[in-house]
Amino acid sequence: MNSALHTPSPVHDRGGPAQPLLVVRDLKKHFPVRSGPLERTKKFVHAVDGVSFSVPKGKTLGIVGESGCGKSTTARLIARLMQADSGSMVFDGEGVDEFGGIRLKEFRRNLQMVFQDSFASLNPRLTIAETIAYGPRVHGMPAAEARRQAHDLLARVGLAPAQFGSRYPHDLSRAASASGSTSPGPWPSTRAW
Amino acid sequence: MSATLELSLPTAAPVAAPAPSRSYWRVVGRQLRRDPMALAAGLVLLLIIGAAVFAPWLAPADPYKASMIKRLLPIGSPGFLLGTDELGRDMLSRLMHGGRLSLLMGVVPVLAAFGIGTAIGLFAGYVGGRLNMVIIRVLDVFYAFPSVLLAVAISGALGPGMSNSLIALTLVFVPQVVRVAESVTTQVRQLDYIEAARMSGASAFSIIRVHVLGNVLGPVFVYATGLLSVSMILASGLSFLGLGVKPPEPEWGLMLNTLRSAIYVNPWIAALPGALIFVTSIAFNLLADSVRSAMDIRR
Repeated sequence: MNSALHTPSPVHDRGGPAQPLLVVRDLKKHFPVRSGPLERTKKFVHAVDGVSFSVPKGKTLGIVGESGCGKSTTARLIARLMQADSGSMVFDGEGVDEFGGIRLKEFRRNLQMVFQDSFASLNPRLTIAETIAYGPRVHGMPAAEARRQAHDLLARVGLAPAQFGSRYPHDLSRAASASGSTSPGPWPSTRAW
Repeated sequence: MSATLELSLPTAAPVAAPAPSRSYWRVVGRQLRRDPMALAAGLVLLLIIGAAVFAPWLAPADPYKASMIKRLLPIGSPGFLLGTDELGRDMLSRLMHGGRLSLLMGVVPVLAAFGIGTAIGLFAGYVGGRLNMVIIRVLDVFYAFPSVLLAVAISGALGPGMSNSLIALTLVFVPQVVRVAESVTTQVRQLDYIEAARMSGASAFSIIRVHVLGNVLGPVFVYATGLLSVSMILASGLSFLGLGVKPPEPEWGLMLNTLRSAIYVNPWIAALPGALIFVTSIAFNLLADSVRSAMDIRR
């Protein structure tokens, strides 16, 4: 990519293809249930109780289960949108946000979540181009450059930037808003494999 | 027949005229211009505000000049279009000048409360948890009092005077604005796009500024426009009770008070300031209603 200038300290592809991309060990998250007049914690819901897996590079892992069994909680824990009670996670040979590991902000540059409801994951007050440009802006890319890349991205998924870039989510079709919400991942090609 | 299957992305659709840049506020503005109620209310307000702002140049007479022989002249007397008050001062001029203070006391507290309340509400709502609960419970204490009682109590404690009644009114409105801002923020905070923004690595400040503020400001703004009429009425009430503006300063609420004695002599004159308060607050209310529905276009 042509953004080498704005890439803050790239995370190296360590260990090559043999290194698993993500290793999760014994991940746990319990939610307290408060009840009674003093709101004392009596019970816990064991949403995620000792989940372990590893994902090799270039592979896809599907997690299947009935609704409410903790799939989304697992995803949130991995994305660090929620703090796990216990368990460890190694991303490409490095811990996240711990001594000697990569920082959370850097980690998030490399890991993205595609939300179930593409429409709800778009800010209704931002145009599609602004939403896409927001991610790179957060990581320090100048506004003009981020805008240009957002337009490039729109063109790449088949939405003419001049026509769709300045639209708001509510006047996009479902499919178009899905492409919009998938794109916010900053630097789509930071890591190539 | 050759069975070739061609797959391609829809190539950039024939470039239509670039969509007109449609900023949110422009759409709201267009919606308002199509609403006859908004236009009528806006026109009335414009007239009243214009008359008040340009009173020194437009008013036919000196609002302070009294005359013992020209007391309580009826509406339509030669030289006094709307008659004279209990001290023989020109009513039209006094009403125009009075609008300056009355409108000021209606608008300033709401603006101040809008700023302070939104900031507190955003903070409380975004932080959430225990701190939020403490802030809201403390403000609930204020919220529990009727606003008239609270305004009179604070104003009385601070002592009479215009700046004190401005402070009192601001304090009355802040908890109400915080309440609205907090509940909207709490709602917005758990939406997917906030989570998506957190996923992109943005700081809390950036998320609040870009994603939360824009979506909270709308409902709070609508609520605040609705407060304008309440503020006007409360301000007039404070002046009526002698807690706000002092005589001989013209102010609608105070004029209503001093003309009280003339109600059996010339009831039409005595009713004029009250009618203006009524019309202005109704116009503010109708405009607020129209703004509310105009801003609903999204979602």
